[in-house]
Amino acid sequence: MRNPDINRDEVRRELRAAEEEQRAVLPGFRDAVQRILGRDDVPAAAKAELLGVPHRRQFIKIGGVTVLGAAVLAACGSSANDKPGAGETGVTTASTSSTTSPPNTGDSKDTDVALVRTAASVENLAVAVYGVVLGEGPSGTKLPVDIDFDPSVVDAVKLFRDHHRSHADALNAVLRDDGEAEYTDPNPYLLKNVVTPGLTDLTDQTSVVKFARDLENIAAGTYAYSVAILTRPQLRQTLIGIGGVESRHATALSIVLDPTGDSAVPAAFTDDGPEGRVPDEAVLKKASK
Amino acid sequence: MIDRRRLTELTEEVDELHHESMRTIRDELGEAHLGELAPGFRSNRRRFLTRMAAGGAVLTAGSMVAPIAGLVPAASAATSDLDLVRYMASLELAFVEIYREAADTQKLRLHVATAASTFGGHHQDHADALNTLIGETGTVSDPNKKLLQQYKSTIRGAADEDAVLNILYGVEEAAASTYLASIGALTDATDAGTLATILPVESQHATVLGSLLQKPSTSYLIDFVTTDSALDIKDYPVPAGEQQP
Repeated sequence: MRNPDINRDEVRRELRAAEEEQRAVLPGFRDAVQRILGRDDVPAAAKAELLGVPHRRQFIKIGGVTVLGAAVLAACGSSANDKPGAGETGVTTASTSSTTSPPNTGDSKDTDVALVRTAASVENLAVAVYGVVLGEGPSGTKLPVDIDFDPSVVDAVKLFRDHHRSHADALNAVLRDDGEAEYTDPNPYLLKNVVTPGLTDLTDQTSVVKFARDLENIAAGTYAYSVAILTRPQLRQTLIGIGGVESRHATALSIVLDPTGDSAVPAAFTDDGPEGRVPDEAVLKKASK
Repeated sequence: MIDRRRLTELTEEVDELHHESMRTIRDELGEAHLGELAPGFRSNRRRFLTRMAAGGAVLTAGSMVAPIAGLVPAASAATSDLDLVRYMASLELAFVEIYREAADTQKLRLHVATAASTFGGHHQDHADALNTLIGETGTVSDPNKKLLQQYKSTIRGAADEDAVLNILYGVEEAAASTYLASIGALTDATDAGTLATILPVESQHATVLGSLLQKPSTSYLIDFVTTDSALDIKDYPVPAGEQQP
C-alpha cells in the first residue's frame, strides 16, 4: 500500500546524504584503525579482534576429545600477552614445551619452516597412531583392549601408515633442503592432549575408525589452511598434494563406517577453519640452531 | 511517491552498502596489517587477480618430493592468476553439466544417482566460490566448452553404470590433478588457499567413485596427489568472449 506522505525524491536525497555522510566518516575510521593497527603496544589479539578474526576461544573435537581451537594469529607468532591462560580456555592446557610455541613473527621463511615442521609432526603422529592400532606402537603403547579388526581395515591401516611415513619423509626432505633439521617425533601437543587420552576410549573397530577419520580430516584441514600461509607456490603444491591424500583416507574410513558412502563427502569444501585444523598449541616453531 | 515497503528496501540497501564498505575496509586493513601477523586472514576476494604467475613451479624439495616435481603443465607457467581461476571455474561448470548428463543416462542406480547429484552440487558450489574470487566483472558463467563436448559424447555412449562411473572417476582425478597444478602456479596465497579447500573434495569424490567401481584401493588411495591427469589450459581454453576487459 502506498503512503502518500513519503516523497520518493525526498527519500533519495536522504539516502544520498546518508551515503555521503558515511563516505565522509570512513576515511576517519580508516585512519583510526590504521593508527591502532600500527601501534606496537597493542596486542595482536586485540588487532585481530578489531578486524573480526575468529577469537582464540574456539574449540575443536578430535576423537571426542575437546581441545583449544586455533586463532589465525598463531601460525605466525603472537606476543606472550596473547597466550591464553588455563582459566581462559576451560580445558586442560598443555605444559608449555619449547617445541610447541608459535613461531616467530615476521620472517616468512620461518613461517614456512614452522608449517612444514608441524606437518611432519602430524604425519609422525599418524604413523604412531596407526602403529598402535596394528599393535606396533612405540614403547609398548597399546589399545585398551584387543580388537578383532576386519582384514580390510587392517590392510587400510597398513597402507595409510605407509603413506604417512612417505609424507613425513617428503616433508623432512623439504626441511633438509632448507637447511633445517628433520622433525621425526609425533606432534607433542596432540600426542599428549588428544591421542594419549583418546586412545583409552578406543575399544572397538568403530571407535578406532572414527578416531582415525577425525585425525585424517584434521590433517587435511591443516594442509588446506597452510596453503594460504605458505610463501612459496611450490611448497603450497607439495603440502596440498599430501592434504588431498589425507582427505582420501578420511573418505575411505567413512565408507568403512557407512558402506553406502552417503556420508563420505559431507561438504563441498575442506574445513580449514579453527575447528577443522590443528590448534595453535600444536604449531611447532622453527628449530633454533 | 513510494510506499513504506520500498522505503524499507532502500534503507536496507544503504545499510548493506555501509556493511559492504566496512567489510572492504576491514579486509584491506587485514591484508595490510595482518598479512604477516595473521596470514590466514582472508583478504578481499573481490579484487581482480592480475599478478602473473612465477615462471612455473620448480620443486626443489629433494627426492621425496619427486612424485610431484616439475609437474605443472607448461601452459600454466605463464598464465595469470585471474586466468587460472577463471579456467578452474569453467571446468567446474563443465563438471556440473557432466554429472547432469550422467544422471540423464538413467543408467545409475538410485543411491549412485544420489551420490552423483551431491557431487554435481559440490562442483556448482566450487564454481560459485571461484567466481566470488574472480569478482563481478570477470565472472565465468559458461562451462568449459571443449571439455563438456568431449565428455558429453563419451557419457552418452557409456554402456552401463560402471562405464558412466569410470568416466566420472576420471573427471574427478583430472580435477584433483588440475587443482594441484593450478595451486603450484598461482602467485597469490589467498587464492591458492581457496583452491586448496576444493582439491581435497575432488579427491574425496574420486575415492567414493573408485570404491563404487571396486577398483583396487591402491589406484585411488594413492600416496601423493600428482598433476599427471591435469587438464592443460592450452587444451581447454576458457570460452571466448569471457576474457577480462
